[in-house]
Amino acid sequence: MNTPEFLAGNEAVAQAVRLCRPRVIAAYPITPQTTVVERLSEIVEAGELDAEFVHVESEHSALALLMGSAAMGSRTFTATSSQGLLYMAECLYYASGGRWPLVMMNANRALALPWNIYGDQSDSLALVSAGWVQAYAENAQEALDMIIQAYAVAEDPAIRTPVLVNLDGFVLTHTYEPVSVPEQAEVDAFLPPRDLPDGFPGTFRADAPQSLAITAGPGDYTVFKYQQHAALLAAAAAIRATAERFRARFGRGAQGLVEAWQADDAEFVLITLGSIAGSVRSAIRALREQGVRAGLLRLRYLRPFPAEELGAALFGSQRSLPVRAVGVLEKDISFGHQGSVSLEVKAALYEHASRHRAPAPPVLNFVAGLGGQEIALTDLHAMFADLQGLAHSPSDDRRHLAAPGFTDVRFAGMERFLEENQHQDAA
Amino acid sequence: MKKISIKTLPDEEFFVGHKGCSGCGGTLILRWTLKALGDRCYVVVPAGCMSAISFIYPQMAFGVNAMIAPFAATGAVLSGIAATIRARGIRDVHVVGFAGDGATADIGLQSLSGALDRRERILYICYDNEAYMNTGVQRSGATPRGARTTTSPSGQVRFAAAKKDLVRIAAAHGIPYAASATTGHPADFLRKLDRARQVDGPAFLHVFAPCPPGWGCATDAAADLGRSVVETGLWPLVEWDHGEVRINREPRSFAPLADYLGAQARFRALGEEDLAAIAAARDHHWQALRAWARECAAAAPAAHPA
Amino acid sequence: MSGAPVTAPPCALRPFARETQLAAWPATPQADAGQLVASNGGWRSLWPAIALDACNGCGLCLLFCPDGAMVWNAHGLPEVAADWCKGCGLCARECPKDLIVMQAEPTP
Repeated sequence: MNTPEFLAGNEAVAQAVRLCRPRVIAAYPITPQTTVVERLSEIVEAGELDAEFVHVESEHSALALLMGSAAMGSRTFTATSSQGLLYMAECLYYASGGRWPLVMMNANRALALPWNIYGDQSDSLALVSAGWVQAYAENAQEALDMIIQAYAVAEDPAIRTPVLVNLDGFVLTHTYEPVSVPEQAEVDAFLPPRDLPDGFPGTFRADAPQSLAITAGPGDYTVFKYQQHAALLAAAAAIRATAERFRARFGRGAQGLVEAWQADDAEFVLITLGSIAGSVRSAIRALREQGVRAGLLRLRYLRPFPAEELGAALFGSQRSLPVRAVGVLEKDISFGHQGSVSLEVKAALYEHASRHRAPAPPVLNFVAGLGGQEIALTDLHAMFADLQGLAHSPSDDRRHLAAPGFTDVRFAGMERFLEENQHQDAA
Repeated sequence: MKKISIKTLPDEEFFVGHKGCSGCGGTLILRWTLKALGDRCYVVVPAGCMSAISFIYPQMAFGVNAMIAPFAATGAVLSGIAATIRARGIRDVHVVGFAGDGATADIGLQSLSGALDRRERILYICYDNEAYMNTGVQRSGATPRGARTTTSPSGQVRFAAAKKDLVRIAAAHGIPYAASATTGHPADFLRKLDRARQVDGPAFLHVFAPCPPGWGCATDAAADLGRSVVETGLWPLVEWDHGEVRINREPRSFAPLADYLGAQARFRALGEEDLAAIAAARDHHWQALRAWARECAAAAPAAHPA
Repeated sequence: MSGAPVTAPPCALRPFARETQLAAWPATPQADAGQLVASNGGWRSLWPAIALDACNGCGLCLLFCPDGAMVWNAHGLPEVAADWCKGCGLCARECPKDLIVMQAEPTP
């Protein structure tokens, strides 16, 4: 076992990319991603990685360039954030439709307007339907591990789907933690060769020239889209198998698309994603000391959507107590409705309830951390209190899904902010 | 490397069975290009006419490796191919972009600029049919003054812009080679293509490409219009070669504008005043072009490999 | 893939059976270059008739065809590839000896 290094999330990503040995790296700066490509430029200039480091003129070009490289059979990397991710939105769909095994890191950051450089998940969640595998890391170690596994999943001949690895801006990208960095030989043995094999779908061939990224009429288009969807669904099994293989070789890492923590006997379950899970664990520890059966489900992957794992965690036979209320905590809102993750969780619960003719617990959506707004421990306690209140409310009819009105979406932390301002005014 | 010329053009065809309109100038240029460069090509065409007519599953008109790029990203996708070629030390291949005027002068200009700035080893050909033809003849930054399009139905545009001068825009990046050409001068085009494929770094060709349905010209006019646009002085044949500017054809006097404009419905509504304005703009453009050539001749030649 | 190379004029059509099973489609939106499955011959309304007797084989009609539809015959003279000619008339316009005339298509 090697000695852990003290690395920020972005540096852990850069180290992971070094170990995965992409042929081509496209670099364009945007806060808070920039230090990833800065570190990679140093790594390439120092000769620790023989890659083409290309200074592109936009994020759109970054992803477009990598599609050209992937069509030539090269492993690639780029990183982006926020406005940059949305600027390349067209290319996200293009890459997944072309089935190129790209890997990209996204530093989750708020979207303008108003301008704001701090972390929230509006950027990647806006593109959750773009056909990419979407992973959300909790800490720097998991970010490094996810990048390495991302190449294995993306380049799996049965999957051939690009992967977006998300790190919460600043909170994760710029926070230093001890990170175990694997040996090059170990990663080499874990991943396929850095060049895609001749004849790999989506690549040019010297012996039999190919037309790539073609046009298809309605019928053919539907078939290609069906294939793409089937591959992304199949990625769930590939992610689990890859994680298992990773654990066997490197001795760490969660296995599933959902990580359950203190969940099997939890009556009040908070579902969330990304780095806030650490704070949620702290809140749960404190609540459990008070006798509250609180638990956490962390969505490590949002695409493919882990509906099955979610259903099993909430309703499986391993449970000792039924779930009485579910909260979904996310740094995002789908304007005019509710949080994107909440919508997805509710859809999964509804499907589960209809399939099993079983009641579904009520769901509260906590929208928090927008534009980097702090999610305090007290906020998390308040969320669990809300869930308890919901479960105990006499008006609550738990045989039905929670009403989809706006009343069950709560902007956590906003009242605290107003109060703090009042105190400042008073002082 | 065998010199490219009309005489040495091989019989092989690398662009057949496409669904281009009858008499399309763009497809003619593309066909010449691929015949001349041969099978060791990686071609990138953005969304637009050339992609729409060549890659409709299951009919594939390209005989070489080729792919469609996002509309704005021809330069970037070319760069990605070039990066892998550098990384793996692949030799004796051509990385060729073939994009229309909208994809070059407008939406793709940023991506082209990045590729030129990085000195990518690419050959970028803009086939200029002077409007967004694939979507049905809308005005682009390369639509000439007075031309009717479906978004400038009178031919009069408020700001009355001249065409963006793509050769000078490309040359301003300090790339090794940039030149203009037409469908009416195949020997000149092939000579420039030959030069373009040999320089060390990006090369840019801006090629006049008539569009019969978009211009309202005869389907057999692509070559003839190529000649008359040069004779009327509306399309100077020029090349920038490592800092030196050559005007390939210096007409002593210009042929009457009607020789060119009169053969196209898109210019039908032009009156005397419009014609005078077009002539004045042309003359000004030639003055600026000659001044540019003199300025480049006076400057010390850029250090470059031959 | 079989038969003549896709690049050899007149670039013959290839037999192609439309897929009937999902697994038969390509694994990505891609296909072999030069996969020509459908003729463009139905596009034209006029046919370039060449007066071969006076033709000196200069090749300008081949050069100026946007469709690669003019090919050399066994005698070194031009011949129209019926699958690809769209009848635009460029060959006729550019023939320096005016030996090509666009006319109604001969009935087979």
